[in-house]
Amino acid sequence: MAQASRRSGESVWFWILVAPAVLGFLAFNLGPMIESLYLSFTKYDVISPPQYIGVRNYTYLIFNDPAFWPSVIVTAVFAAVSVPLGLISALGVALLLNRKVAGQGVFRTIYFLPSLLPATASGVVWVFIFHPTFGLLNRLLYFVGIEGPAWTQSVTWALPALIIMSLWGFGQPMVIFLAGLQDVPDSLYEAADLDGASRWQQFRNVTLPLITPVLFFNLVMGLIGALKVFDSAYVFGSTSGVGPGGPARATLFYALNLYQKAFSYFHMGLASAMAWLLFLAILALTAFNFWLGKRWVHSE
Amino acid sequence: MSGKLRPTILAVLLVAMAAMVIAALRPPEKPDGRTVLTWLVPMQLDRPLLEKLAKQFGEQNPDIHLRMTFVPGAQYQTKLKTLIASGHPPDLFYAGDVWVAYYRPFLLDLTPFFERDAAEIDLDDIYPAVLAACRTDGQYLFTPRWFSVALLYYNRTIFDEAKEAYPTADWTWDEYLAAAKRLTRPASAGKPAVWGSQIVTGWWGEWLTLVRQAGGELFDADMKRCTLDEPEAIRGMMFYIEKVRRHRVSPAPGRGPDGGFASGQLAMELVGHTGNWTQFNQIGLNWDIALLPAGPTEKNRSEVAIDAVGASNQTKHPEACWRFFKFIMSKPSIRAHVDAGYLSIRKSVAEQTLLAPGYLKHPQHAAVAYEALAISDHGAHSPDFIEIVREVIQPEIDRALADDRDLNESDRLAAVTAACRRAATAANDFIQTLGTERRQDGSGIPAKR
Repeated sequence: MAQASRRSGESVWFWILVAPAVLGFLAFNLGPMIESLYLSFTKYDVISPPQYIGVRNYTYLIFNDPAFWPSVIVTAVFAAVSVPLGLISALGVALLLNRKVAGQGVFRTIYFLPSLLPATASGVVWVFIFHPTFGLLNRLLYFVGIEGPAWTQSVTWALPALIIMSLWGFGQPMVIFLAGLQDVPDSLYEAADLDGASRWQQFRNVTLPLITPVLFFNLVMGLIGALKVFDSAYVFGSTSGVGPGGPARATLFYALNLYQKAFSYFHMGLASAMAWLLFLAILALTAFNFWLGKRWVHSE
Repeated sequence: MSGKLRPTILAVLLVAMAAMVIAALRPPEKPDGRTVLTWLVPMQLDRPLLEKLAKQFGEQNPDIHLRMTFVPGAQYQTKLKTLIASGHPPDLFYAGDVWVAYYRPFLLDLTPFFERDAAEIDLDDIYPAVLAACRTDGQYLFTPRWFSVALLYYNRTIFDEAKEAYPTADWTWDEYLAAAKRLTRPASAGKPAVWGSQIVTGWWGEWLTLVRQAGGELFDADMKRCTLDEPEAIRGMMFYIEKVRRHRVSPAPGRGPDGGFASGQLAMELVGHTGNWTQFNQIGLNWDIALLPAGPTEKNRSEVAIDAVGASNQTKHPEACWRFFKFIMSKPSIRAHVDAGYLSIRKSVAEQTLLAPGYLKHPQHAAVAYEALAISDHGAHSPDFIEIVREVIQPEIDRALADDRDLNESDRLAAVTAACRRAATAANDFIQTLGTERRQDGSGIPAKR
């Protein structure tokens, strides 16, 4: 009886706490989502009324649009490289910051701070760092005898520059890793120590399995974030003078391509179709991750 | 958070919210019975000039209240189109650049006004090429303020130091290239590198001029086919890319001096922009202009762009708009533009200022800009043109230009030809899909003179 009453109380609290998000979604997201689904089957330039054209937006994107597949590839490459690199960096720093040393709180704050900066602000800073002539990075390379590439203007180096830039914001996953690391019981390390396990063996067989739930969470959120990259790429292209997506589509991320279609050329139908394709891709990828996660995520 | 601090923060937040609500409920500016014209203006360097002119217009037309809204340049097109879509277009807006193609169905046809008041506005005093750029299919769609025309800029100091003769009107590509080679020198003994010429990257300004000078074109007359894969067009594109890759007289993208021609490290610049003249003079550059060097088939052909103002065809005050247009095209207004560093669209004002001996120290040959204007063409007034060139063709050209392999001439020609063919195929694909639909709407016919 008492247990049933407690469950009922929890249920009420659950609905109270999720109500703002649910109401916000119903009021501000659901309507536009349904509208965009309809618009994805129309030709709509904002000014004239939408005209129903069936699936032509989808077929145009997949078979004709010269920018669609390049933007898919840029986004996929970025996600495939930046997410693992970001996770490794975040986990590495979290392991260091988990050690009990003087000034631990200060170090944690320093490493977390960059992730609080808006991507637009940090984007502007990074464009100066990557400046071919006066940039800090190429100056440092010059001191060790290397002529750095024209990062922002180079078809080859612009995307790697954006990947390097993305590592700047690993503060969020780092904090989550830190929380996960603090949940690992000390008794397990003591037992492993008694068994003569080395530091690496302790990390491999104790730490890593026990933080797989947070690793999984960071992986899923990191992938979703990487597939939606927009602001940093927009600022990068605009500030460096090559234009959003440039040079030669080297930084044309999927979301940036979508934005250009919607707000530069007013192909709202095409942009809506792109948004739904992205939504379906993220849904499928997340479902796949959850399916795969059952095989490697440790659950008690 | 301490218990004492919490009520204070709450009180501050409440006051801030109340202030925002009061600000939102503030009644709109009262026009006192005057006709209100709204003008959406892109935030540019000419803001002080426009504000001064708006004030003068208000003094001369006390029955009209001109309400200006400045919008950051990058957001201007989105803002304008959203206002049109919401049924609240501004009466007046920026026009004349390539993006105006998107607004053709919403531009007020000014032809009856131009015809009615031709004598009053002294239409014959405005350069014909400028007026042509304001017309599409015979209709005047906007009123000009100033213009820019493609030219050959040269740094006299670099030419003098190298004892090189200045460019002349009879220069061809060969003379231009030979001079650029002689003027290019690497950095040495603390002196920065000098490049023979700049290259314009990221947009069509230079390569399209060269394609046309070589006898090629981007599209056929009806804009039903991209012709960038034809031999003449490829020849022009080859000259553009070989400036960097074979002759090495122009810096590769990202490798040139900051500030472009204003850096003083470029002996010449093709195309350029007359809006930069003031900057060149402010920094004390010793420079001048010449006609573009002639290509293999087209003599010195140039391109003109105008800065203009248009009106919405939904405006309730077309006569008031026209009064503003007459003001903005008037001789005193154009004189104010010249004083602010822009080129005059009126012959009489140009003769009293830019063309008068000693008016400008640099360029010494300002008359050349008007010679170029007379043989110039204006950009297409077509949304298809803009999107195809920017999003379909330009990335292929950027990629071809970035190809830094050490190729011999025939291999380079093969690579450039392949890039032009890929671009043309993708452009034709676009025309057959999105482009065709637009033309059926009647909103994408290319501009013709």
